[in-house]
Amino acid sequence: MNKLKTTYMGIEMNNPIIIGASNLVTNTDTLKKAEEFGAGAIVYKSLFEEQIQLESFQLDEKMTEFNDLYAEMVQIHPNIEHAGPDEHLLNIRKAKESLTIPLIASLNAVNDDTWLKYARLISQTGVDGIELNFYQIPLDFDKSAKEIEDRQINILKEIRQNISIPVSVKLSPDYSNILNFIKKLDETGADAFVLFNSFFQPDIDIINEKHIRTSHFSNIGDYKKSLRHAGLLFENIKADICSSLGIFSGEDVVKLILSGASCVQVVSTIYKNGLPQIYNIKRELEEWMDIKNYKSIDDFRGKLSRNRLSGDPFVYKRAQYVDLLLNSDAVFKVEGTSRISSPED
Amino acid sequence: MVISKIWIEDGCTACGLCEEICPEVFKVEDVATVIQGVNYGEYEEKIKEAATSCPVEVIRYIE
Repeated sequence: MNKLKTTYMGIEMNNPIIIGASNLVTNTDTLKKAEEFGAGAIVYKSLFEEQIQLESFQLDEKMTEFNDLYAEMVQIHPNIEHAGPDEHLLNIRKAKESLTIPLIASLNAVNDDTWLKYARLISQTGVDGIELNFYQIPLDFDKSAKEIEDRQINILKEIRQNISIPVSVKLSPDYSNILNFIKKLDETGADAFVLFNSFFQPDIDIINEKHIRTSHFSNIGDYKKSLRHAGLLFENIKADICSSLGIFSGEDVVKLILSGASCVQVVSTIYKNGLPQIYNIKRELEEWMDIKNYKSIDDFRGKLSRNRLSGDPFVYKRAQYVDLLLNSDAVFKVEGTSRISSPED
Repeated sequence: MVISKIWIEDGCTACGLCEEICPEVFKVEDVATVIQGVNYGEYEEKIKEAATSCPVEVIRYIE
């Protein structure tokens, strides 16, 4: 029996490790290799609004509207020869036909019409599900958080009413109260939440006094915000939780599942360690389950979520910084001194 | 300064990022390789971006 088996928005997967949307998984050979190394599912590279606008010959000034760089994009303005949405849809269909594991498509649109039109077209390619990337870089001083959230809820509502395949929503953590927003999206019919996506952040070269592009890979340990939110959401929403961002090892996967995730998405660790890392993560997860004598993912999923906590009930609420300050005498005690430093020093 | 030499050190994961950024200079099969006979000066910015973006930092060049 396969003890790593799990279900994600109704889709059965052999294990909880999904290769997240990226340029890593675009050609059929790489997709097949990812499957051979044991990926539970793959999210196909996103279809971006920019590609659609290029196809519509609305490039010029319009392109500057989309300079909110998303981490998955390698270049701001994609190569026009290979960027058309029709070709993208064809490639999704081919990818689906070449794989036996589930394939999820990803849509990263801007205009309301584009969201619905391409969600429909994607759903006709035979993919198992679709991931909607909601984000808003704060650039407009006059737009309220409610306006942004209401619009995104309406986009989901429209899509939910018009397509039948499972729909997940990938979010950034930068909402005023993300738990409330997720609750509303959950009520609107999202089948899963992918927490979180990442963005390019600007940086400055102080010698030449100009902006520079920085690495957009996540780092080891970046999963902690995802862990907190999986722990807060588990059993409080109907939708599944897929944790993303900074998940590098089998140990990280165990932590996210203990918090309540059904599965995880990995990207940076594959860029840094190659496709065999999928196998390594799976093996580490399986070994840990053997040691702990767990027979299935459900045996320990959400065991350390807020709802199931029997120990410290405030662990997901508290900013640990405060906790450290309150206990600083004990925490920072060193031989011969009562206190050497605290985070405020 | 013009880039005069580029090479790939051991440890390439064949992620393909360098080829996506600068296909004129990098080709990825089992690992990344540098295409010979190219005027690197024409693609200097893209080469540097590929080197900076490489997740395992194996792209080296001399100016």
